[in-house]
Amino acid sequence: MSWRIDGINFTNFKFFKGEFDLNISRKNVLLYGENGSGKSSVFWGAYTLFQSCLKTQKEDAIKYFVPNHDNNLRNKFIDDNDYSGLKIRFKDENGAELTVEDSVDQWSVSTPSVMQFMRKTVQSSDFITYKFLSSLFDFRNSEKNDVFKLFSKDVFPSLNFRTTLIKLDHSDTGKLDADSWWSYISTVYCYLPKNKKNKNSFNQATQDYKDYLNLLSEFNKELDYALTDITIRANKKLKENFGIDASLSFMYEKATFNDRVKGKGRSRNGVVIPPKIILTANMRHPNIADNKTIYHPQSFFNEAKLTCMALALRLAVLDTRPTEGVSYASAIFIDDMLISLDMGYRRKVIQIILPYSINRQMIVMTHDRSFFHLIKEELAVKGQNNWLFLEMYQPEDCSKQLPSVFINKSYLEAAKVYLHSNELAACANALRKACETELKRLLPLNMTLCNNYKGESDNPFIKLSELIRRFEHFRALFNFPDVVPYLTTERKFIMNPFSHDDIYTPQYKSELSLLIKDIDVLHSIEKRLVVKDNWINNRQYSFKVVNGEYVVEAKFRFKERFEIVVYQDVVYYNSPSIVFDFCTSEKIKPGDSYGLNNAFSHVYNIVSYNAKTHPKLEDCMFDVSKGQSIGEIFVGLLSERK
Amino acid sequence: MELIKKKLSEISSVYGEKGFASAVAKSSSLFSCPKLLVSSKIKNDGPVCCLSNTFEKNAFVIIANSGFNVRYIEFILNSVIGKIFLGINKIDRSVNVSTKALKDVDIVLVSSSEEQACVSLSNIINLLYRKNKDDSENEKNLSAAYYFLSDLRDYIALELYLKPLFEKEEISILSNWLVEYYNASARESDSGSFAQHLFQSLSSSGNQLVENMYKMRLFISEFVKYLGKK
Repeated sequence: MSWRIDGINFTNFKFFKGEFDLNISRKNVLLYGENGSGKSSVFWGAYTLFQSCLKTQKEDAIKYFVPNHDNNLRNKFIDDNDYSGLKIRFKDENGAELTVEDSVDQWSVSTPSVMQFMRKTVQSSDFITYKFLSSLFDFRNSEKNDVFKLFSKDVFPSLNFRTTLIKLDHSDTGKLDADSWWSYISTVYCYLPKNKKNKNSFNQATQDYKDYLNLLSEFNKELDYALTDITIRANKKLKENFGIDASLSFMYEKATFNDRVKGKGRSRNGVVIPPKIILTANMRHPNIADNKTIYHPQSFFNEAKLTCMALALRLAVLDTRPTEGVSYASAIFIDDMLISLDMGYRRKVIQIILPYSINRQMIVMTHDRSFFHLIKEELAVKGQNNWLFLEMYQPEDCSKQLPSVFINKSYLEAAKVYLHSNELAACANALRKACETELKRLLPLNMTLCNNYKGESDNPFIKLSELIRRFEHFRALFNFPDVVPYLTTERKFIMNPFSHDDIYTPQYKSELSLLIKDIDVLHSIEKRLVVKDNWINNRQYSFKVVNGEYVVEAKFRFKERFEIVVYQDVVYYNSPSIVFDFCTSEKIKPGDSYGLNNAFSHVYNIVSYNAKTHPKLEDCMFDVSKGQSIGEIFVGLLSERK
Repeated sequence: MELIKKKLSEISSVYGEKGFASAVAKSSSLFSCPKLLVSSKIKNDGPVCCLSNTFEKNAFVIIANSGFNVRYIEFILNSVIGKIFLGINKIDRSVNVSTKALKDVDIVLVSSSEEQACVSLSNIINLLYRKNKDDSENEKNLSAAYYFLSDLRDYIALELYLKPLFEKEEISILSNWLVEYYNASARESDSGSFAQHLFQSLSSSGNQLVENMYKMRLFISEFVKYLGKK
């Protein structure tokens, strides 16, 4: 059993004016968002909600939604009275639901069970942006690479210590993350008891003072341990995954408190000095003697290698985040992580990061369409189907500031997206593919193949024009209404965009919209198999047609597939050949063969029904082995569809 | 399955400094038999006891009864469980050990394969502890490995005592360790390269044992609190 995010709801938060519900159905998500679509607000919304769960005071947690608060993240175009908030919905495999809200009205984490769930969820989840990767080596050559500031901002929230923070009052905060530890340590010392005579100096004899020193020592020990742990992991990744024969290391200079001031006798500084985390590198190379330490990696390695190093380090931190469990969720949000990498490295990195989605929920966001397709391609190769592909676009109605979100999973959906973004030629191309896909789906396989198909090297399928012609024949077989009467014309004039001299005319856009509607119609037609291939000639069926004193009963087998087509809840069926095994009417002999419809017309005639009075075929016909009427089987197939 | 626990005094003889001296006076063979020495003052970070053939002052002595493995007792006493039973907690980080507290420590009895896996882990930790002191060049890596495996020992010990809680969260570190241990021990004959190989394997991304250990961090505070209340 595992918990996963089922949806996130943003109301009047940052970019979103009004309510925006991102439904992700417990899946991993690959989200393409064009600039100005609100993609970053999704990332920061989730981040804000997760971080609010680590707060101990309600005021701290809800400040993002309080009008006029310095830290508020309310949409800038709403009134002070308008509700602003975030909700996140979790679901487990059995459908149990938990919704966590952060708003002025509601702070769900005040309930202990929700707090337990969310604390663990936050401590297992991770938020990764490109900023860390681009800043890790952003130092002048003249200065030491002290990454403490960067780490305290971007890594500490994701770096779990082995033990929870116990405050000086001995209360267990339940927080493992380095951020909570450092925030507490770097502020609480101000409240330590002072000397009675000299109010500027701390009373070192008090238990609180000693406890504080112990806590600081514990912090130094845990941070040093955590840095060593991630260095070992990062270096392994650098070598094995990125193929870079270099290693990273940290020199940790402990945080200190109340140290003696040099040259001032017994006086002490009275403050906490943050630790230093000096990042260096070593490279194994024949021209570099004794694996010499490189103190300024940014001056030595090229951009791609530096990014890989930063990435290896960040992924090493991710390695230490707990995977999903039975009493919490684990989600990784990645926002535009790889923008500075070239294509070759990108593919490699995608192959490295995708395995993290196996036992964590992964939400990858990007504004880079090629990266989006690269991941999609890799997922297809891996056969991973628990992913949802979403595309976010700028709002059509700017006053609403709610993005248009599309599920990217078929040619038809792609066509809608292209139309929306005015990529009309691409839209027409996608529609042509969508039309072919739908027709191939509906037609029996033999009707989609070329008559003179010779073998593996040829394309076996007929062209679109022929598919449309055969669809007409198929329609007649099923007595199916003509729901797409303009398909032939649309093929000629729209589904070949190069036939247009000016493809950006409004006329053309509206034509594409109409064609999308037609393909939508085709897409909504469903086909179901009632008699499968291995039942042909094997399984016995029966019918009983009664009209007053006239009764005809028979047993028969199908000689062909029996298919139904469902459109707007109406069932249409073809007329496959059947062969009779037995019939109570002398007019039908064993071994006689009919089309299904003809057989029933014949029987209706025998018992004196006419076209207006006869019962439905599916109510008279039974699957002997199932003991069900064909009508009941239809209902079963339809409910499967729903 | 019901846990079978016995007091330390039921499966071993526990002596104070004087008690051990008079016991040796009665039976000199006691002096040379394998025994655990427990410091009279123990700290949160550091071993509670060590196996020795000699005797030190200010220490308690434990000699296992026949049929019980003194190294398994060492594993339990040096783990977080042993320390909690002896009075260490997050506030009291060092305590003076009493004979009564020591005799009352509950030792959970496990299958021989589990016992063997625990003892092997204990041996690697002891090895790293000694190496860590001698090898200043590799100090950082050795101390990381030492702390890492000490955590592993703590989690396994917790699992032995709090099986239902682990089962509820669907975490089993002991079963992961059995797999890792047998894999690594099958390849390496000497304990040094065994430890090295093991640590390499544990540093790989996606290692089930390590993932479960990171998961355990989320619960350790709750579990330890639960144990303290019991």
